[in-house]
Amino acid sequence: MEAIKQVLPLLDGMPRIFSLSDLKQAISEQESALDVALRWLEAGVIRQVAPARPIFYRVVLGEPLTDAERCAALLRTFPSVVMVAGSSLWRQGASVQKDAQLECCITEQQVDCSLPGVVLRSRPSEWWTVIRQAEGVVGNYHGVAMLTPEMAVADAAAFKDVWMPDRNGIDWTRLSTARLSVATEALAPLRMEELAE
Amino acid sequence: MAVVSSPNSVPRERLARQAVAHRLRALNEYLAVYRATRASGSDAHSSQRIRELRSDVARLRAWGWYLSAKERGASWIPALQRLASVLSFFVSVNLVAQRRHPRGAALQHLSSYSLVERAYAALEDDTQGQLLTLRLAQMQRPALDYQRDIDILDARLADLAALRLNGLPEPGQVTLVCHVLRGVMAIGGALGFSFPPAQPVDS
Repeated sequence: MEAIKQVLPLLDGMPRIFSLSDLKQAISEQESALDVALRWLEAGVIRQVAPARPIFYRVVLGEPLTDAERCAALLRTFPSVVMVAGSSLWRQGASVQKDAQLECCITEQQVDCSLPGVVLRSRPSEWWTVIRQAEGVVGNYHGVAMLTPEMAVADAAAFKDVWMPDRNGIDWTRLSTARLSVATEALAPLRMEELAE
Repeated sequence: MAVVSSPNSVPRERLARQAVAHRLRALNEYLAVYRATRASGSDAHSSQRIRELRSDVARLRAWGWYLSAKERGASWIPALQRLASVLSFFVSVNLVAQRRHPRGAALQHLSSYSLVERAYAALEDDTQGQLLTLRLAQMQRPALDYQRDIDILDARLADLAALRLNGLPEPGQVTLVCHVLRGVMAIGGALGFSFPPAQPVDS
C-alpha cells in the first residue's frame, strides 16, 4: 500500500492515455517502469488498452474516457484502426440512432480491447486494399479514419458482425446508390472468402 | 548491467530481424490507412505522411535485408561493412553540419539510426506489455502457473535490452547500410530480382 502511495503523484502527472515509453521518460532511473506499471495495474488505477499492449489509460472514477481519448488510445495501439458500421454512420450524420459502442476494424485476429465503450472486429488484410480502391474512407474522427456511409452499409452487409441502426434509422438521402453499388461489389470477393471459411 | 545469457536466449541477428519485421508490420498498417484516406481525397496531410512512411519502410526493409544476409554469412557483407566504416566518417561530418542547419532533405541520414533503434525499442516495449499481462494474471490467479512463460519473456527482454544497447553500429554506418541497400533493392526490384518482402497490409 505504501509503495502505491509513493507513485500516485506520478500517476496524476501522466496523461489519460500513455505508453510504457512515456512512463520510462517520466520516472527516475532508480525505478523500473515495468514495476511501477505493474503496481498501478494491480491497484486498478490504470488498465492496458488491450491485453499484452504497452499502452494504458488511467481509470478515473466518475470521469469516463472521452471519444477523443478513446480514439487516441486506439490509434496508439492499433495502427490499422478504421471506424465502421453504425459508429461511422452516426458520426457523419447519416443515422438518427446513436451507437452504444464505438465500433472499429483492425487487421489483428485478436480483438480483445479493455477500453470502455469500444468494440473491435477483425478484417482480412485485403479489406484495406478494397476500401482504398473503392474510395471507401472519408476523413477521420479524432484521427481515426471512417468508412463512407456507403462503404459502412456494404461492409455491415458483407460481414454481418457489426451493429447497424434499423433500416428506418438510416438517412438514405445522404447515401449514393451508385457508390453503394460500387462498395458492395468491391467487398463481394471478401464476402465469398468469409463464406468459404 | 551485466546480461546473463539464458537457455531461452535468441541469437542477436534473429531477434533484430524480428524487431524489424514487427515494426514493418506496424508501419505498413499506418500506410494502408493513410493510402485509403488519400484515395478518397479527403486529407491533404496524408500525402506527406505517406511519403515519410514509404521512406521508413524502404530503409527498414534494407536494414532487414542486411541482417538476414549477415545471419546467413553472405559474401558481400564484409565489403559493405568496410565501405560503411570508411564512408561513415563523411556521413558523421555531414550530420553535424545538418544539426547546425537542420533544413534540407538529407536530414533523413540522422533518422535511419533512430528508425532502427525505434524498431528495437518497440519490440522491447511490446514484450514488456506481454510480461505485464502475464505478471498481473499470475498475481490475480496464483493457482495458474505462468512462471515458465514469464521466464521466457524475461530472457527475451534481457536479449532485447542488450540488442538495443550494443547491437547497433554507429549511426553513420547504419545510415550508409540503409541507403546503399535501399538503392540496390530499388534497382534490383526494377530488374526483377526478389528481396525480403515488404509485408504490405494492402497491395
